[in-house]
Amino acid sequence: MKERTITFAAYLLFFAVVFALPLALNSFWTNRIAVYLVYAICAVGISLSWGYAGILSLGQGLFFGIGAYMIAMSLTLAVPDNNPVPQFMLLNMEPNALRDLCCVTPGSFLWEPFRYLSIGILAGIVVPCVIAAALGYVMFKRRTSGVYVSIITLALALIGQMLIINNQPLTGGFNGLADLAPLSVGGVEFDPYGKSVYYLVAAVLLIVVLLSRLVVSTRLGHVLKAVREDDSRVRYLGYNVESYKLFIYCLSAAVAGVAGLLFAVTSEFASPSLMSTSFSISMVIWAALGGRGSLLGACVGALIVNFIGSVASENAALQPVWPIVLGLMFVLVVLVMPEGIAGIAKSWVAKPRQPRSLKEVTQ
Amino acid sequence: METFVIGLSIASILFIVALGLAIVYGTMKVINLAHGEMVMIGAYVTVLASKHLGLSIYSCLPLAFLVAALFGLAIEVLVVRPLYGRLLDTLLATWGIALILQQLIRIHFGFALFGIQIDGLGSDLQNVPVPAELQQTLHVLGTNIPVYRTFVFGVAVVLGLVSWWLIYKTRFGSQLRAVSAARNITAACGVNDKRINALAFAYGSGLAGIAGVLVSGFKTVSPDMGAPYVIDAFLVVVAGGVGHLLGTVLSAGILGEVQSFVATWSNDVYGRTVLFAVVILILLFKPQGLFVSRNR
Amino acid sequence: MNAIPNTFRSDMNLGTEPVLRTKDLTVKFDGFAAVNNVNLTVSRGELRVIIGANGAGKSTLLDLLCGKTLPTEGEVWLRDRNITGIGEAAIARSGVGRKFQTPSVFKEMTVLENLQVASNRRTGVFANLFSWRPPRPTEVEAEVASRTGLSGVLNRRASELSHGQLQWLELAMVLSQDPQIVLLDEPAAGMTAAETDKTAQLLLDLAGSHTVLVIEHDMAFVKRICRKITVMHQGAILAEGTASEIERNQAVVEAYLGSATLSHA
Repeated sequence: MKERTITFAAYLLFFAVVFALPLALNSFWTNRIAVYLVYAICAVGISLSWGYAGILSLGQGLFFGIGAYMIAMSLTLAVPDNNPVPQFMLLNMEPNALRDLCCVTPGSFLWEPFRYLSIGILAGIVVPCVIAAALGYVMFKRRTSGVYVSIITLALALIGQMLIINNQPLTGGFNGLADLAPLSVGGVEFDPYGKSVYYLVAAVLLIVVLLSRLVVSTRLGHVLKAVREDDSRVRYLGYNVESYKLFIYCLSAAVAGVAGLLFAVTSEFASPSLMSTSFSISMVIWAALGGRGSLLGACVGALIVNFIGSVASENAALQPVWPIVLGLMFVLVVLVMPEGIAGIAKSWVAKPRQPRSLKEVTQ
Repeated sequence: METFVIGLSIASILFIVALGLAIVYGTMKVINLAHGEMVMIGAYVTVLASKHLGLSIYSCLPLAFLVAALFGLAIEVLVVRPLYGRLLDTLLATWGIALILQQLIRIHFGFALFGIQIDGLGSDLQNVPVPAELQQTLHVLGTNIPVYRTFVFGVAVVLGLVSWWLIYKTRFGSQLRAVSAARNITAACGVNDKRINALAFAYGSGLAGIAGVLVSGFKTVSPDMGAPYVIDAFLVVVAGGVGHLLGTVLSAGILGEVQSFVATWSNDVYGRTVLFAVVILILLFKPQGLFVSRNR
Repeated sequence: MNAIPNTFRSDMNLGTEPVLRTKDLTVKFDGFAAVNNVNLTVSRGELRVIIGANGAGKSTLLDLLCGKTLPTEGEVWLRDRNITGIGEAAIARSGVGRKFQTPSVFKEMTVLENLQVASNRRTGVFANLFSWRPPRPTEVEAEVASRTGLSGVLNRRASELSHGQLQWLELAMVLSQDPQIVLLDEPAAGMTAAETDKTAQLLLDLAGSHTVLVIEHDMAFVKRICRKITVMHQGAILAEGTASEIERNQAVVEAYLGSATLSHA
């Protein structure tokens, strides 16, 4: 009981700080921290699939990137200069092509639906989910597990990245989509450097964390914990392990997609680098530092790593050393604190537990 | 035909890198994501040795092997050793090492912090002079065959044979195979499994170092050049079947050629895209590797 | 509603109504028949033991029964249902419970949590997404826990249990599913003498109310628990009968002459 109270207090404290922070921040830092909160959402997605079901996806960047691109397409079209077609398409068009989204460049008709912001937002969640479902269905049906899942997802993210770079006339190629219009919903405009976007991100983070927390505390979360430990035992108890893995994998893809949406809104761009291997692995490290089995830990991990990283890159003396510190952090987290910050916090809090007897429980 | 030879040389590099990784992953169940950085180190050894010592590519081969092997040894002892049995953790930790090694090159091993620059290091792209005899082109049966590509192929063949001999014909090799099959039992039989692992890790890293020398002859050298190799090589290893030397040879050959032909037919990026797609399919539908018959 | 495991499902035909039948069950690995043309029938309420030397195909037979391995030929029937190739999870749901040789339970979870995962009869993703884990054991869970002597450690982490307790926990998990047949792979392996005693008692206790198929090679243990023995040799069934019949069986004696399996009995 006591442990539960402390956990609850930790969540409360975290979100109280998150929601109070903008009062003390200038617009630059409001934006930076908003981006880190987006990363925290990513880390929650990783924690769901890795921490709670043992599925280590190294291609989370793919879903993140897709989420970002989907809304970025809508926000690109919302810029007046990009009417009727985005500027970058004009640079790539055939000389006599019609200046219309239907046919200015090969495949540009795919942009048509994204005139509607709602479709951009929806697609940013649904498309990652569908891709994860398709890939996951095959992977888990084939009983692919462990490191093979990691490598397959990593390779898929690389494919996604290369396809985007390679289809310049459709995707903006290496430069991605930049100079996006600010998000505007129902007459409310969200300013990336203002408190509005910050609170939008913070609210979504809160919702995602609460929902995830809810999901892992159901019987389903319980079965997933068992799957993480020994999936074949779970199978011989009569569960279709595949469906459970598929569910949590899709959920984590959707969470990454949501994070991607918010990233494009906060950072005003989407680029292929979001799908890079190093970014996907970074997400895993945030979750690992915070504690892979803890949703709150994952959030804290993402904030800490990125905050230190950004302080270091501001400082001319620290900047060249930062990647080394980051690398050391990877190594040390794995070697010294495999349960992350959350694990350390837990061992502080937890006293040796008294085993309770059946009688006590049934009373 | 020229495409085929280019494919063969891609395959040779892939093979050498994959061979090292196969030894490390296949026998020790460690995924060394810093393996690509061993390629990078090999390439920088060549850059530095040719710039400062005037050494040729030939004498860089053993030198790079030695340097990369030493790095590998250090990584095994310091980081990997406590992580045996925790496969995914080795992956994360060695990724951290990869970051560190890349940055060390960028900041001139840290000397840059004190304003000292070493020619050949840093974030810039570097090139390596290739001896004249390797720059020639042979004309065989009406096709142009670059000598350098055949040289690469030759080195790969030699290294493949040496590794085969080492693994299957020496005492070290049989101990290594024993450790990989049953670590505890082998250790209980009096084999120093820690030493075997460290040596195998060093040898695998050394091979990647040699690959780095070869790569430096036809590609520019940069601190982040290694990362693509480790992914490709890992794909080669699993596609060929973990722990099967011949499978590694064949899958390196096939994947190298696929990449080369698709690249000629469309472009380099699609070459890699197809490569990854092929490997994903292999992993999904024949995860025990292409050339391994399934038992049980 | 879950039935309480030790209640009789039916009073009729005890010992004659077949629960599990295999028809010409065969599996070949690279041409080698690990299990060869096995026709086995286990009746309701029976406690059957399969013995045989290492490599006789006992464990492979269990793998075939619970779907871990697919047969090359032949079928497995559970009552009037052909369960061949329907997948491990579906086989488990249809009523085949298996306990593995090395205890496989969820060590990070408490004993109660282990039982809860096992006893939950609704196995669908969404059914479990919209239900919470009750904090207290159900009647079934309390019953199997007391049967296996785990009532006092329900809130202990499984990793804190002794080897014997782990084995019993896994057995309790299987029992909590109220299976038609329980498959046990060397249930007394690695146990102390006292634990072995308790396990034997537990199995005798189960006989009658449960149909149990045990793999064992410790003849002393076999003779304590067993009424009917099936002997496997080189993948095939060599003989079937009571312990004394088996010991007098010429074919068995020839196959195992001097082998540790029977001589030490």
